[in-house]
Amino acid sequence: MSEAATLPPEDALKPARDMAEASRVRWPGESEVYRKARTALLAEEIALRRRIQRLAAQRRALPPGPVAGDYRFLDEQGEEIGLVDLFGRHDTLFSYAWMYGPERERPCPMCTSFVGSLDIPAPDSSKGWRSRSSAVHLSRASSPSPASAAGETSNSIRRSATTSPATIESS
Amino acid sequence: MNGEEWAAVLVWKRDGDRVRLFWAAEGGPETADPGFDPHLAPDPTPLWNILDWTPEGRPVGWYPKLNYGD
Repeated sequence: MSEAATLPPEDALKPARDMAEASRVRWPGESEVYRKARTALLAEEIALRRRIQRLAAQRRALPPGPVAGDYRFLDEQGEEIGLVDLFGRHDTLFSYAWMYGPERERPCPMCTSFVGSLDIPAPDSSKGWRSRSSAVHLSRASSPSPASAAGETSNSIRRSATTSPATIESS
Repeated sequence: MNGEEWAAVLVWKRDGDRVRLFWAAEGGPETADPGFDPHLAPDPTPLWNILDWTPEGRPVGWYPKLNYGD
């Protein structure tokens, strides 16, 4: 397993402002006012980028979370499986429970938009990037979602729906 | 919560034969800023980040649809 890319300590970093001012991007016809404001914005963009990485490091440093309940799922063949079975060959599992329960004729539009944004990167994270993260999309069958239920919960996994490119990457 | 349906992002870690929660998105309506729905930072859906790159920003009260009828 390779190490996570981690931002060096603050004092080892070039100040964001200096980096922004070193940028040589200039657009034909731009005004001085535009350049000044854009460079100030770039400095903030760099600062935000660093903040995001600090936050990701803080997340990675979380203590072990709670042991998962004995969630039960139905796979595409209708076979009952557990959460651990969804990992495939990986040690990390990304799951998204979307709102497409049996009482819905169509999936939640926001969820569908989100699922779309997961779909394309899924092979990169499950097959390319260190090959250690699986991803599944889950939806409720007749019981609560994994976030809110334990034990006898029965969820179904949908490989695809007519309205969305949902995928399961569990191998 | 029984019978309710919510979207959830959860990341799990295998721990021997068991599974542990690593991280899950948290933050309901109590974490929303005025004028916004509660949302994660960084925003996981590119859509919103792309809208943030435009002069119009995120339209107030607008949500994606399944179809746009064209």
